[in-house]
Amino acid sequence: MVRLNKFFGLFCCLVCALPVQGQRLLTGTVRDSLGRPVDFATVTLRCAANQQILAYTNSDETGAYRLQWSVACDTLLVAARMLGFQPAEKTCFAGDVVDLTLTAAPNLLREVVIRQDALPVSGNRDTTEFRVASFTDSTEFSVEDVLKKLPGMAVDDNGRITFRGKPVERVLIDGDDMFSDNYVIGTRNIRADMISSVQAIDRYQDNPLLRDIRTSERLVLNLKVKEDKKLKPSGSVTLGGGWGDEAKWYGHANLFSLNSGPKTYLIANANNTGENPMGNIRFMAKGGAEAYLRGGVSLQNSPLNSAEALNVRPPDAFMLPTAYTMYNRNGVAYLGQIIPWNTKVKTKVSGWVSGEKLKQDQSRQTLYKFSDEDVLNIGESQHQTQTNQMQYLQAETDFFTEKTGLRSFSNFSAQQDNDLLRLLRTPQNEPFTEAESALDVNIWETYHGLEWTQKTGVNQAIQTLVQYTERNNDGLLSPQYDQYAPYFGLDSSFAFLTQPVTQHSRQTVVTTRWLVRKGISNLILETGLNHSSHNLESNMSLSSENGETYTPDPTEFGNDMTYTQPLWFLNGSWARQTEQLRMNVKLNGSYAPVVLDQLETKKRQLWMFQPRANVAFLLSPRATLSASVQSVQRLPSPTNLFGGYLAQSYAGVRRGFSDLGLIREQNVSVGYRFDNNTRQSSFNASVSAAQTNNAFGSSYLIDPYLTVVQGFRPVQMQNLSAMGGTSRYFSNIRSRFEVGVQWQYSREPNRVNSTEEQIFEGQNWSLMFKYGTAFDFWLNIFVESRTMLFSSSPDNGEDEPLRSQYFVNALKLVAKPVKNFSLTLETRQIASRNQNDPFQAYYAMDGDCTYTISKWRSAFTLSGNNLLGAAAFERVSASTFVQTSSAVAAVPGFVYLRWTFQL
Amino acid sequence: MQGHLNYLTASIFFIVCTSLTGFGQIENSKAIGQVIYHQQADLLEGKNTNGISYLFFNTSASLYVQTGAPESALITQNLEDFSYNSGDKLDFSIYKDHRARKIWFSTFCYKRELGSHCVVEDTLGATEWLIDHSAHKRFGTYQCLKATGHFRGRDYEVWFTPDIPISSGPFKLGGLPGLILEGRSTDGLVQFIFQRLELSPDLPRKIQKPEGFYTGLSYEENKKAFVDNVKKIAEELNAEGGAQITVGEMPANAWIEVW
Repeated sequence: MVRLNKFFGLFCCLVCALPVQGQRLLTGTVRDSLGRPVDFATVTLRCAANQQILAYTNSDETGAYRLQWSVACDTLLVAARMLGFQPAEKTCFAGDVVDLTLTAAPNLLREVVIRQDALPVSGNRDTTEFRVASFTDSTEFSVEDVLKKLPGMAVDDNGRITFRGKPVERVLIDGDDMFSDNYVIGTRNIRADMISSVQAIDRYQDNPLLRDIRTSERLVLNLKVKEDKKLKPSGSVTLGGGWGDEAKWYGHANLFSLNSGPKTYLIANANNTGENPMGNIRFMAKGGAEAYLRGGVSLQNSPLNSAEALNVRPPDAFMLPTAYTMYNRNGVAYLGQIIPWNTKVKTKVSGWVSGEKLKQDQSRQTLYKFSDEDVLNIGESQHQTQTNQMQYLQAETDFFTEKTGLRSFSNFSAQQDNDLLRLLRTPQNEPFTEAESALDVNIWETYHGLEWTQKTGVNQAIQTLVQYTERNNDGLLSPQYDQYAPYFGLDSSFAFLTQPVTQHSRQTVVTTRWLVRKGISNLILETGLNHSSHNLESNMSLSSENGETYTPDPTEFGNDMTYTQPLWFLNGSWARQTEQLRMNVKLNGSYAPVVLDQLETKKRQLWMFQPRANVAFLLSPRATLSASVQSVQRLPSPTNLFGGYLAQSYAGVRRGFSDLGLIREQNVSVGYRFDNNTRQSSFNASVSAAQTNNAFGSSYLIDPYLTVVQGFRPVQMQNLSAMGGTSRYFSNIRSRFEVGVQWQYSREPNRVNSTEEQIFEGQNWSLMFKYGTAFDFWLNIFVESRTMLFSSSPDNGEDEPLRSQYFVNALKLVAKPVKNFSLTLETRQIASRNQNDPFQAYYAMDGDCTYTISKWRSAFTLSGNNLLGAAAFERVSASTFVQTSSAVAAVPGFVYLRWTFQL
Repeated sequence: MQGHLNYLTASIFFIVCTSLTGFGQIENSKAIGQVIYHQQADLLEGKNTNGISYLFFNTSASLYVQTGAPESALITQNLEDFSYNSGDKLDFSIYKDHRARKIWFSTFCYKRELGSHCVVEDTLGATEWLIDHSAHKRFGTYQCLKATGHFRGRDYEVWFTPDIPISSGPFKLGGLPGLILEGRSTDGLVQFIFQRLELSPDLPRKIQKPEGFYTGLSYEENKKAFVDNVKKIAEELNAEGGAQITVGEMPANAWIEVW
């Protein structure tokens, strides 16, 4: 026993090292309740007086620990911790030997899940992701309502989206493109509560075989659906009714099935409450001609430039929601399905039908200023009714293996528009006259594209793309106007004009492309044939009440234009990309033996060269400096090449210019951008300058009753622009500010009631300010203000400029005093003036009040429009030498109740 | 004598048994908890792994995986900038052995012949932390303390909880008497934002060393081998003629660990 005691004494001396001078020491062991040593338990020493951690260590395989520290502290607390055990703690003093015993917890490990809010904005290379919950307050109905709240996103009145100034080309849902360039149907009708995050993906490459080979300039948005919405068929149905000056009705359905196998989306909306579910997509210029110039032809974009000689224009919404200024009845039904046949083949089919009827009463005073002494004032009061129907179907099939890809895309669309005007025209100092005009337009278009991609190496691929598109536009203008007779020298009974117009276009493009990536550079060579043909036929006839007809000289008032353009092209582009520098140089060359049968020399052989270069330099991970320069040579649009007069409205005729010549554009721009996603702040500034040579100008002959426009050339035009903006979220006051400013200058010649050219200089200023709060309590506000200033004058230095100014202010209050109730009130002020007149302001207010009953999966919304009872709205607009003051009769106020049921 | 031998035998047996027993009810490689972070690095190269990252842990080891890394296995070598872009299907994982205070992390190989993934050794707990007892932050039910320290060219401030006695954290951070739930560099360029914590015996993830070619090199040796290889390539190319290539310094804002 004595030997044992000595042994233990020696052992203690061995394990207890002499402390370094100034260092305090504590040792001991950690064992479990059965006396077994606990290996790697965390042992922490605190000062009992202030709980500060003085030292920490881990126990070894024998359970022993050793703590050293230098801070003086009288009473100490030593604790041992290990997951799966209750912590053990004892009070002790420096120099003690403290043994700790850990007791196993009743449940070895309890299940604990703690969540924290995700970052509102995060970035990963070319993708910026917005967490929707960080920007919304649950009062949003559609995805578009959400997008308007995301920093850097802008949505115009037609629903078109830009992100940091760059247009969004597509909106995908979980990576699938279901809407092509008609994405407004999706963003205006898909419910906001379906989406968890929005990704803005720049340089998007939809062909997986090319992802490491070719960069792209395409910007798309990807809406990520919430995971719980994918578990079973989901969606919502909304029904509503109300009263104003007529019965109001509303219906909306947003149904989808994303759980397994084919994915299906169904969207439907029908209402007469002023909501526009289609976003004026029928008025958008179709075709990928612009995209072609920007970045190359792609499978989903039809290359056809389909400017219409005769078309229906939407009524003016006066910078307000359409519910204020137009009676409407509209509806759309959309169905989309994604069918994955197997892992390699997938088909996407979607289509919609829509119908719309709009009515508006408007009056306007149009001032034509030819000089300070020579002005013409014309008044018009009109009642407009417009109906349209649209049908659309598209199908896309993708087949991909590791090295081969085959994709096909087809669409078919048809559109039937009718516009009916009844109006009173009152020219200054002249008798008034009545007119009536009917315009019917029927358009159908079909497009088919097939793309084959073959990877010939890790960094190489070849592609062949075949595209065919055909479009037909039959229009019929039938106005009744008593000024036709004196113009043609006829009997006054010849007041009925009939002008049918038929446009037919066909285009076939075959492109072969070779792509290679070598290190940080990639090279693309493409060649092919772009063959297009356009035909425009129109004639004009007048008839009298007695049924007599008169046909004006068809060489002057008729068209039978045939234009054929085979264009052989060879394009090369070279891009170099490091983490700090991105450079892109493109050279497009083409040869076009064009045939225009209205020319004396029918055939022209034209060569075109288009060099382009752009560079982006990353000054830091957040800041980019970019510059671009390009020189474009292009042929004029065939729709400008008709030689006979063509009536485009009851009082306006136009004719083009039958000549072929290359239009030359030079453009240079420089920009700077800074984005800090973490702080949600950004800054951007850019300037650009452009000059166009050999372009078309317009020659106007305006009298109190008729306007005649015809093209002339060559003209030279200059444009300058500068824009900048900044946005910042201040977390200490939980508020977001955004400011934007834009200036544009243009200089272009026109001939106005003269054969002499006059150079007009115009300037446009616009200022934008936004403010929004993100308070945790029940009230938030949003403010938006836009101001536009315009001035234009001939450059003779003598005439007073034509000026107009207007602003739109909006104040939105969102109150959520309790979780299941919200109130939204939005008040808008529009005000405008011309010249030195004072501002005239008009106010519009609308609101929603929503009560949610979760156990019924229902929400009830009472909505009201034009709550201040405005009778009319006015605005002033100006361009070049024309200023228009317009007034529209407001839709009387109405209320309606909606019930939304969540499936 | 026999009494001594009996005592010694019993002691040896006792020591061997306790060392073999310990807390052995859960497999050593099975995770018993995970922390989900949002990794955000505003860096030239470091941003390639931005996104969601996971720290799986048990008492003896932890595994940090960066799921934001690109999936492409393509390796490109930019001879003029000497930077690599390589995707890692294994998410650039970082394995930490808490006891041995060692790290094995997956990275691109310093030369192509070694393959697409190489595993390099590093040291855990090399940071000298200073605990700020005046600052507290709560994550759910866990009260956290603030600590500051320097790691590979950056100063970090982290929030750790002594209530979870795991000496680990995001990326290669660790060495505190508690699990690091959130951290950021003081220059604002690197953040590991806490998203979620889960403790459960039923997590399916195993904590294992990363796959790839084990170079046997330490972090500093691997770094040197990379630079040497790049210089060698530059010399070879310069010898062939044409444009002269010079090897510059890696910018400080390229990686999370400053070279």
